[in-house]
Amino acid sequence: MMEMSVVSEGVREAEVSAPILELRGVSRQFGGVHAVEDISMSVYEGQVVGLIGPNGAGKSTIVSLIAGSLQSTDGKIFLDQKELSGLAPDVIARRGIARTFQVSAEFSRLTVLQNLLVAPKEQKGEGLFGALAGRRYWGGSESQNIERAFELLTQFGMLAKANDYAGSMSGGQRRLLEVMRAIMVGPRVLLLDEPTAGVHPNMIGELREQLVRLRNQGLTILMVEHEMDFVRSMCDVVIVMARGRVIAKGTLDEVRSDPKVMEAYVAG
Amino acid sequence: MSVSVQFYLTLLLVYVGVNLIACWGLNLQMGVAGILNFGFVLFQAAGAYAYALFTLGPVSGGAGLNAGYQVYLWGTQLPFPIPFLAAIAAGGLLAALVGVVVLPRLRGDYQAVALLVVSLIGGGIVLNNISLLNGASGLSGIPKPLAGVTGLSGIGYSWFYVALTALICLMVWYVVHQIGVSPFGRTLRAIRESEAAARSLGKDVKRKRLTAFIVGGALGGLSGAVLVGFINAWAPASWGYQETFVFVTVIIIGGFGSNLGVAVGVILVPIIFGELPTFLPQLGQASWLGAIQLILYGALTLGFLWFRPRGIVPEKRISYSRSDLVGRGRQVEANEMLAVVLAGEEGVPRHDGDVSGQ
Repeated sequence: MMEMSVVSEGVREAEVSAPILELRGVSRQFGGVHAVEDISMSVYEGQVVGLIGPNGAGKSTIVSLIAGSLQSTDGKIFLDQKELSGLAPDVIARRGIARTFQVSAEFSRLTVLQNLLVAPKEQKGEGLFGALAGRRYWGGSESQNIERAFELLTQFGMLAKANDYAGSMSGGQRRLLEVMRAIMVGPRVLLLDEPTAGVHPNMIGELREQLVRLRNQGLTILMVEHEMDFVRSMCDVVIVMARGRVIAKGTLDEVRSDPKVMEAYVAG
Repeated sequence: MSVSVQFYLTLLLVYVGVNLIACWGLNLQMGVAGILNFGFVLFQAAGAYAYALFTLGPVSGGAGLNAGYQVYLWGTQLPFPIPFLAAIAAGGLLAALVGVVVLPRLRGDYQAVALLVVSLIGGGIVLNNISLLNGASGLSGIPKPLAGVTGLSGIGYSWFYVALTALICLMVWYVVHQIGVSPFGRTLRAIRESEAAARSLGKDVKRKRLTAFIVGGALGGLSGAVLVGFINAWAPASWGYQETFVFVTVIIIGGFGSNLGVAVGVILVPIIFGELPTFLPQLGQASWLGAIQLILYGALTLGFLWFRPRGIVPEKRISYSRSDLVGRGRQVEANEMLAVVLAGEEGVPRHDGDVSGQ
């Protein structure tokens, strides 16, 4: 087992405490194929960790395993020392892990604003009896959520799109929508699967700025990303995967010069 | 207006009410929550039988109507509105039982087929087990609600029943509307669009879908009770799979997820397209009439799926501006709903800085 205690200059203090997210010997097989094998890593509160590697390395599988949409065939996953293995994705989300998807999964026939309004936890009026009680019961909290959603849309430069159907957005806008939606959950750990894929370069700057702001507020982020400038500017630590295994860790510049990493990218 | 025309009119209006209640129930399941249900008529049947069993009285020694010529498992005679509540409970309970088994395991087409098969099994059991609910002969002589209290009979009672049906429809509208505009309705729509994404946001997809399924089933049960309270008879022939097909056609033509659209669909499909062929001159065998109706429904379904898949009155888009949050949004939504009906457009009329909807 290769222990990946993720260390970075900016977050050493945080590492004195226990990791917020921890994988111990996690494996996942599909039939006879090992998508990921014996992965161990620790992520500390407030860190931004990049998960990089060639296609098919198992990065998105890791995200799905943490989020519970896939179950590991071996190993354990912990959030705040509490085991997540075997829990349903909605339970894991309620415990504080939000995610985006490799292929955008927006609610197409809801507006952008409504997409965001779905996200907040424990909303009034989200159960049958609360709904039947009417707006007088849930209108107040709804107004707060709408305000919060508008703030987020403003910060991400998408205010003009608030009332457009999510299905009518461009690929890049859908990515941003998913990130905003995940933020609306109010997570402790945010899992981003290729957040910049298809996003306009101008918008990538906005995305970076918002994620940095969230990181500064204490949000922990684990992101799968191919855009190396984005990784360099965002991530405290980078973990490199290839063929379902972790092959390197460190800063981006450190791992780039690692022969194993170069070989993995060249060989695919 | 002659009495016979009035009888026809009251029958038509009660059918409008029954179909409204049933289709709003199915729309909640299928249009809002995305649960394809081709066996919906089973819940209507459950409600109808429950109403009958709670009004007919014991098998022997009851009101006399039921003794000797029809058999059923159990019966009692309770006052209004208990039989209607029993019908709601029967539809909801059956939906809970079916939903717990089918919903978590199957999706999409498989789910629809499974629910159709469940309804066929239900029909087979009732049809072939005569001691249960009198088999193919069904139950008749089912008492009318409040007939003794009002002292009305004939056409007077029929108009009273139309008013009662209208009142029940208003109550059902309140339920489906409140669900539709609430965060619960929004979450159901989100689940319909992407279960995986909804789960990733912490939504308990299983519970939400099951809740919508049960409420829809309960409304189906209520629609059955309203129907048998008026026609006073119910048999397996009344709830074949074709009936569900009519409900589905209503929703496709009216607009998936749109309660207003369903109301328009109910007027168009079973009333106009269902009744018009009865005024045509007889072509060939008498059975052609039923066939023409089904062919018409099928053609309408295909036509709408092809040319206007979102229906005549598509699901509303609720929009907000920062200055206008919950309170004013509701008013403008209502205005725009009307605007869409008048214009027949899917487009979204916008208001300066406020709210738009469709």
